[in-house]
Amino acid sequence: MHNSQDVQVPFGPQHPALKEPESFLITLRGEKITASSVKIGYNHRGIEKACEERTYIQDLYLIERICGICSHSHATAFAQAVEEIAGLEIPKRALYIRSLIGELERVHSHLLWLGVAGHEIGFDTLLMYTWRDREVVMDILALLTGNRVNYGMNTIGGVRRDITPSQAKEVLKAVDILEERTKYYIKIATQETTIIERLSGVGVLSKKDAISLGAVGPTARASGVARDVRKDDPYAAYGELDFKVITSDKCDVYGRTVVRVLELMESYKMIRQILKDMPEGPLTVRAPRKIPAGEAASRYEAPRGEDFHYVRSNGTEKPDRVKVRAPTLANVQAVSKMLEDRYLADMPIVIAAIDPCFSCTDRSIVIKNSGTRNSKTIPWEVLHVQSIEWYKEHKGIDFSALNKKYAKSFKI
Amino acid sequence: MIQALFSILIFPGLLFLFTFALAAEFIDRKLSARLQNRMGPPWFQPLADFIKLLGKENILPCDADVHIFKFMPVLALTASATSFLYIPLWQTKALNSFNGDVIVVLYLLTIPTLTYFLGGWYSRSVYSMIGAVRSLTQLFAYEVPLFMSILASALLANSWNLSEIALFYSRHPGYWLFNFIGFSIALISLLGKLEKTPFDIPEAET
Repeated sequence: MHNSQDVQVPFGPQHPALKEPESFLITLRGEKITASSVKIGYNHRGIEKACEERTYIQDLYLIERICGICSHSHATAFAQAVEEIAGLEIPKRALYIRSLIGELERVHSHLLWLGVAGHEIGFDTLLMYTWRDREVVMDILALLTGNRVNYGMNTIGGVRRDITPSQAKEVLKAVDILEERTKYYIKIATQETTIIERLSGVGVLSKKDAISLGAVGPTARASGVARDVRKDDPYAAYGELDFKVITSDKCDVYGRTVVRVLELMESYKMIRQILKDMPEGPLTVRAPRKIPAGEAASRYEAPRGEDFHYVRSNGTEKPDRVKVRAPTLANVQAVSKMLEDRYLADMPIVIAAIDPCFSCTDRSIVIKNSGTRNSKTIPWEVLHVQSIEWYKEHKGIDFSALNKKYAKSFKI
Repeated sequence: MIQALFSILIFPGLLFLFTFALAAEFIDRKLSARLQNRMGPPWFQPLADFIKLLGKENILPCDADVHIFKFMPVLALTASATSFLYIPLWQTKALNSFNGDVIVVLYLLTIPTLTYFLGGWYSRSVYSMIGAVRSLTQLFAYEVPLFMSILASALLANSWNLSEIALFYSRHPGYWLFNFIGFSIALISLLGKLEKTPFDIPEAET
């Protein structure tokens, strides 16, 4: 497989084509990719461990900051798991408000994706248009929750803010504007020859591969797998809402684009239905400070796919274990499959097509010495001394005086 | 002597070329911004960017061949600036002309691509090498149609001298109809030469 014509190119963690730091290693023969591997873990943030040190309410706000785009998804998934352990019955109105914010979030995430995809194929006009229109839904989210991202809407046992009738009117007005714009994007995605030609047959993931690699969300649905937690395992208000699971049998990046733009229309339909059917009633039930011992798993259909949270409690006010599996982790293995025998120029759009959120997905991994690379552990103190020496030698800057305090503590 | 210095440094030399390039960049950016429903940059933005880029740290890859790596950009600038001597600008007569200068101009304008390739190749960085090979591959694609379209108009004017060609067409403006196809081809080839979308694969900005 490996011969002298092959060139190994490290792609990332820092690379202009990547919006987030992640490490890919691709083997090239000419312009063709012969092999690729993904190494996650560069941006590990230790959020799961940090959750064990905080109370459930504090965790909710920490969990919300896993992702800047699907913040509501993570917070809801976590709250659902904790509520299941505590055996709380959530008021209907709170469930509807959760779904409403969830769908608005999906709208802003899909519009964002459409712009990024446009940028990756050199169609910057689409980027400018979609991001301009995305402002409409961002303003609505700010109106309802006070924030453009990290809404802080959830609490254990319900939601924190109500939707007033005047706010509902504003939402409906915005949805009308967005629906009209989305119809235009559907027209672009289904009729514009350049888009169809550029995206068709790129990043193919067959239905069989999608199932065996466990793809989720729009990536799976574009390969003809009707996998949607909102339908399969309804949570919040989705059991009572009327919507279709959009699938496509194109299996390529074009299919993923079509699935996403058509999903936008389903979201608008759902938002209208939620605002029409939203029952009156309280917003929260009282949740105990100490959650009884137990464990629960919760699933949530985030814009990028299935979000999975596992929480184990031990009867105190802090969880015993929190495990988060972001949708990108399920999809990222499929990227290697999609890149096989493709051109290098397709790589950015193929990676972007799964709508990756690497920072959400990253977990720490221990790389054992495989014999191919000389790995060794350098203690912090030695590294510190080395960096000061390096700057002294290469740049002529002496940091040792500046860092006298540190120097003392490290006994230089 | 003063006349020559003025020609080289002020007009139509470096200062004019510099201003002209900045103006062209501004129009390009403003136009694409308006097409994309954006405000676009103010008129001095290209100049501000230029000053900012001058202040940037110069990064030399460890394994790069220092002399070639530093010399190539100079060569590229010199070649394209020199070609301006033979291009008629204000009137039908260029600053300098001789029979066959149309070939020289085309040749001089090919040099920057070759220097990109050499610079990229000698940087010994795998990313630059990919870009270098791409720009050279693209060269073969656009150079032939560009030469053909420009030389076709030269054949029509029956001269290999750019100033004479310009004079011929100013006397017989009706010939633009014959050159229309060649003009369209040259326009598309120039997009490739300038590495603009959709032929920006060597640059691979997106």
